[in-house]
Amino acid sequence: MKAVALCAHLDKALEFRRRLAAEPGVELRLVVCSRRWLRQLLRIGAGRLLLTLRLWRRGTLAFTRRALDDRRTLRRLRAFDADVGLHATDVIYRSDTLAAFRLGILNAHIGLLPRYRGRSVMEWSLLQGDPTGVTVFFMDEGIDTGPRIVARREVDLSRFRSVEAAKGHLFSLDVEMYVEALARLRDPGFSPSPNGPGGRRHYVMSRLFAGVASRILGCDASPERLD
Amino acid sequence: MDSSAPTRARLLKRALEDRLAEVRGRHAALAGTPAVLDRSGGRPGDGGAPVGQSGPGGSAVPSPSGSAVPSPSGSAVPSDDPEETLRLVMVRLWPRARSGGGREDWLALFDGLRRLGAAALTDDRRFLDAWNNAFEAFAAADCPEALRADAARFLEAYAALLRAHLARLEGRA
Repeated sequence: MKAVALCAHLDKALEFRRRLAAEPGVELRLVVCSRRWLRQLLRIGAGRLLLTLRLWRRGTLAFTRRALDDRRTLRRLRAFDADVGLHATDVIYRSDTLAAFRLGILNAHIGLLPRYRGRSVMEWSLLQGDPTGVTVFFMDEGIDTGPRIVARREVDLSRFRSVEAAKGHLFSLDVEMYVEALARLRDPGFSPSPNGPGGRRHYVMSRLFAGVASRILGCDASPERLD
Repeated sequence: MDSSAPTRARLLKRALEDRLAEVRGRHAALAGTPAVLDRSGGRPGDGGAPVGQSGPGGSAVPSPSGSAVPSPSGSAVPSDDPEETLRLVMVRLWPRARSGGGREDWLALFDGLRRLGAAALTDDRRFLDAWNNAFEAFAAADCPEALRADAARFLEAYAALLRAHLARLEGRA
């Protein structure tokens, strides 16, 4: 299976490489899409700079300053003839970019689909008393509405005492979740779950409710402490 | 982490009480309006009609379709679908108002919120949170003189919503 990791940061691209290079049956390419890729390169440190240059010379790693839906970028992406894209940028993909991959682009969303779509979903899950976790699904042009869910994992956040730390942990699971999703996709018997109806789009949570979510996270098992 | 329902309800109740006090303070700071919020009771959760219901003593409680929150001529929120209205409020109207919006931007936001009045009374807290976000943006902004009366009505409607949610939480916390 040919996979292309689309990354906003070189660090993340190298993390993909570290986790997926030895994965059997996966041919990985890395694309760093950033206007500041040169600055990233210069700050990465000598050891990793050598690795980066080696990957670049082999054609495993590419850099672009252009938008992903720029026709020249699209031409390069199509030339990879990849099965799957792995989302690690901060952009919304247009249909041409999504269609540049045979199966589509996977997104590791830090909420449990289909219910929790959109923004601040970890906080909304906490506020509602629902499980938190990560869902990997094939994107479409909507907000977390892509119809095929490939992997979904509930993640217990009880050891975290701040929203930032908990969210950072969920985000840090992206590559691990992509590894799991790619393994499933390579299984001939696998079929994705539907990202069914019943989901709701969530929006940026207010400071008021975010404060409540944060306190829910920080609570221990003694409600008396709250009085 | 204890995310049991009573604990969550208790935390939420406390936050809403604090917010209601803040709304009252803001309302009092707007000239000539302090009595309106006090009319529905001194303590949170002790009365005060929710949005969409008749307020006791003819209080200035808005209805979802109507009155207390001002509606600018030519609404920026044409949809009757609460989901679509919520999307418009959160994606377009709220960002516009909070980033240095003028009177028309704020009125458009208030109008969008007014249309979410009934939905904001439900257990789906996304709708109440649109009001929360609007209040936080309003509190951080300098209220234009020309917006004072409209803002006062927005605060009254928001306070009524908070009281309604607090009344519901009374039995859960």
